[in-house]
Amino acid sequence: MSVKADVVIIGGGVMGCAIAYHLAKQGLKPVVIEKSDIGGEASGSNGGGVRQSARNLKEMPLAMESIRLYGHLHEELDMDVEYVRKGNLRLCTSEEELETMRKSVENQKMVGLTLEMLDRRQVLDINPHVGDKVIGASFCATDGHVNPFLVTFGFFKRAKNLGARFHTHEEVKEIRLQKGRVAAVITDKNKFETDLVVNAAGVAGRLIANMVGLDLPMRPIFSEALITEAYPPLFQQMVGHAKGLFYGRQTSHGSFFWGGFVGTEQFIYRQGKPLFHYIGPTISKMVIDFFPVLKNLNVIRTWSGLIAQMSDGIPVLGLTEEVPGFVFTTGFSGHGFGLAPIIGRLLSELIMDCQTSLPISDFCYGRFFKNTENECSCKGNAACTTITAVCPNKREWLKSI
Amino acid sequence: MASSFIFAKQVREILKSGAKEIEIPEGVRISPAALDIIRDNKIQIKTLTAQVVTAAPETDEISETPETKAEPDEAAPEEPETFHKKSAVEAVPSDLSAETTVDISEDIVEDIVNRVIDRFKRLKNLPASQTASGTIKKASATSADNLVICRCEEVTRAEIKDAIRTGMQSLNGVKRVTRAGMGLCQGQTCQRLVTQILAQELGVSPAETEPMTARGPVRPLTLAVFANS
Repeated sequence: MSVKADVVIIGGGVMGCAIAYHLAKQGLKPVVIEKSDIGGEASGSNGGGVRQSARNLKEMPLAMESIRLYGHLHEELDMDVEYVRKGNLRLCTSEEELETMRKSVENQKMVGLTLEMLDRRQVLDINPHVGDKVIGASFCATDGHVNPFLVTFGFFKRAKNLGARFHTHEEVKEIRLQKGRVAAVITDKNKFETDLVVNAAGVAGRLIANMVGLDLPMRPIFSEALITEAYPPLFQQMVGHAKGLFYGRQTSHGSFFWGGFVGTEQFIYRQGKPLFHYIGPTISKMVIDFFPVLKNLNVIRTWSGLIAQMSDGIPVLGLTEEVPGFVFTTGFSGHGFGLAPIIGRLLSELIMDCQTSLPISDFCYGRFFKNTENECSCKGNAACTTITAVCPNKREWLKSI
Repeated sequence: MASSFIFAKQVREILKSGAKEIEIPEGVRISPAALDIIRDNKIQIKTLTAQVVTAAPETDEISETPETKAEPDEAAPEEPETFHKKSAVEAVPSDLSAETTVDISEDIVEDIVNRVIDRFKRLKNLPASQTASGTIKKASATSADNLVICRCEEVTRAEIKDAIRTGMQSLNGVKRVTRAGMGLCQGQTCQRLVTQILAQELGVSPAETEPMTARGPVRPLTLAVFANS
C-alpha cells in the first residue's frame, strides 16, 4: 500500500515523538514508524536525568534552553511528567577526582552555567545520606530528573491528537532515493512516499543512515540499571559519581533508580539486551558505598539498554548535503533525554523554515570529514542544513577527498 | 482440622456474641486482620491447651524461625502454644521468606510485613476521604473498569484499557505507561490479567501477545545481598 506523507520520522522514541508533536502543531501530518512500541528502546530504559552539568560544552546552550522548556512541559503536554528540579550532585571520592571536577566546573561556568563545588559538609547539608567516602561534589541547582516514560508518552499522545500518524511494530526496510534525493520509505507493511525523512532511530541510526549510503562513527554501548522497592522520600536530587560510574535518583513513587557502568560494556557485542551476572552487583556495591542507608532495600528489577555512542560524544543533527531530504537526529551518546524538548522544537523549525533559533552547526554530519583546521567545513547551519542551498565549502572538501 | 486460620469474620461473630475471650485450637494461626480486631478490642486468646495469654504485644523473642513456619499443616503440632503478635503476623510471608534466602533475618521480614500492613492501613483510609468528591458515582457506573488489575501499583482496568486505546500494543508498552507489572511482584500476579485485557482490546488470542520482558531478580533481593552475589 502506498501512502503519501509530509515527512516520515523513523523511530518512535522521545526524539521522534517530540519532533512529530512540534511538526503536527504547525499543521504537518508526520508519519512516525517504530519497530517496537513507543519508547521501546533507550527512551524506555534510561534514568530520566535532565542535567546540564558535565555535558559537552557544545551541548550547553541546548541543554540550558531544554531545562527551561522542561519547566513548562506539564502544561504543554497537559499531564504530569514528574519533573523535579532539585539539582544534581556529582560526588567525588578522591583529590584527583576533585581536581578534574574543579577544572570542568570552571569550563562550564565559562559558557554560562551556574554551578558550584561543594566540600563534604556542604554536600551533607544538601544530602545527609551520602557515605563516608564522599569528600566533595559539584552541584548544579537547576538540574533535575523526570519520568522518561511519561515524557515520551506525553509527546506521543499530543502528537497523535494533533494529527501525527504512528505506525508501531513496523520496521523500515528501505529508503528509496530518486536522483539522489529521498523519495520513499518502505517498511515491512507499507510504502510511504515522502521527500523528507528524519532519522531518529537512536541506536539503529547508523543502520538507517546506511540505507541512504551514509555512515556514522557510532556504536552501541551496553548499559544496565536496577530499581528498588519503594521507600519514603530520602532526597530529590539526581546523584552520580564524578566519573559517571553510577547515577541514580529517587522516583516520585518512591523507588530508587540506579544505573551504572563497569567498564566492559563497550566491548559487549551481543544480539538483544542480555543481563550480565557481574554488572548489577557492581552497581549495587557502588550504591551501598555511596548511600549506606539503602543497603537493606530490595532490588526488584534489573534491565539493560543500548546507548548510541558517537565517536565524539555529541549527537548528529540537521540535514546533509549528501542526501537532500535526509535529516539526522541521532547519536545522543547516552545523554539525550534531557535535550528532548529543545531538539523537538529545533528540528521542527529546521524542517519548516530551514533555520533554527539556536545554532546546531556544531552537530552537523559534515564534522566527521574535517578540514585541516579542527572545524567543520560548512559555514554555520544555514549552509549545512538548508535542503536546497548548496554549501560551497562542502563541494571543496568533497573534491579534496 | 476444619481450618488452620482464624479469620476476621469469625472474630467479629465472636465479638457480636459479647464474649471477651476467644478459643483457638492448638496449631491454628490467626490472620493479621483478625489479630488487629483482637488487639483493638482487647480480647483474650485462649488456646485449647488451657494456657491463656493476652494479645497485647509482648517484647519477648520469637522462638521459631520462618523456615519452620513454612512447613505444611501436618507439622502444626510443633507450633508453640502461645500466640504473640509477631508470630501471628509473620505467618503470612513465611512461605515466601523460606524460599528466597536464608540470609534475610527475622527482623527484616518483620520490617517488611509491618510496612505492607501500614501501607494497607493507609490505603484503607484513602478511598473513604475520596468518596465525598463524587467519584463514587462514576465507579458504580463502570464497576468492572474500576477493578484493580495490578495490585502492587494499584492500576485499574480502565487505565490499562486507556493506554491500549491510545496506542500501546504490547504488554511492555502498557507496563511503561501505566506501571502495571512494575511493582514488588513484577507482574507475576497481573500479567495474565493484563494479557487478557490486551488480547480483548486488540481482538487477538492471548497466546499471540508477546509476554512482558522477564527481568531478574525473580524475587526481591536486598542491595547488600545482590552486591555480594
